[in-house]
Amino acid sequence: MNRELAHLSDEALVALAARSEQSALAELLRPLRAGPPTGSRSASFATKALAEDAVQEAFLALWRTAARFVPERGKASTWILTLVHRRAVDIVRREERRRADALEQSPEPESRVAVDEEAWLRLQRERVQDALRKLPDQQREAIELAYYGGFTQSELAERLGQPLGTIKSRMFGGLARLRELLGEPGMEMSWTSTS
Amino acid sequence: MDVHELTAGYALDALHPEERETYEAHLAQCEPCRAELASLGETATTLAFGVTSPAPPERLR
Repeated sequence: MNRELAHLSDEALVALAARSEQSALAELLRPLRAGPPTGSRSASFATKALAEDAVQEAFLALWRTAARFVPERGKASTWILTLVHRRAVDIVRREERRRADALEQSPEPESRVAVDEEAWLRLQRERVQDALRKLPDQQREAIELAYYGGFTQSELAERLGQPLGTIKSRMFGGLARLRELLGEPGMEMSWTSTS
Repeated sequence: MDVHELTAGYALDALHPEERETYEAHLAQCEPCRAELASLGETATTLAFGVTSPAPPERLR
């Protein structure tokens, strides 16, 4: 499942990660993956590969332990960086003993879905994503975590550290706004009229 | 929290089982809520278009 997650809070991403959503983990780790902002070209390949290994392993650890994250105990970003740091230390120690070869990732296979169907679906997707982008972040977060993440309102209240009433209001406000946005001219979802 | 405001949570299937029962009981007696649910439910369904499915693996094509 691919979708934009950049607007979500770290706490929300951890909640998604707890549901084994790889894309949420990827988003959480994106700033780490990007590597050092300057001088990355001068960094030796070995160092870069090691850094990537550390992130990969933190990625796995995060996936396994995300369900245990409790927002009251600290910020998600701190928790994640701690995990990455711990993995980095492990890897450097291991590397002192042996050298590892970097694996090249195979390129993503091309989809062979019929072109017109693909184009239509892409159009619908853009419309929905455009509408979602127009929502205030907190409303968008509540809706996306409920719909795409499968969380109940009570679970979200707990995971995001917000009162239940707040989550309910965000969800209601967000969905009502989404209805307006999707109902605007040029935003109709016309699957009934085209079928 | 007004029971009417549970409509969005119900449309997104995000209610706790007990709340869902409460809401369904309310729905049977509340015409405005039924109309609102039909409308918000359509919006919620539209969200399914917001994601891409990953391409199937080569061996399955």
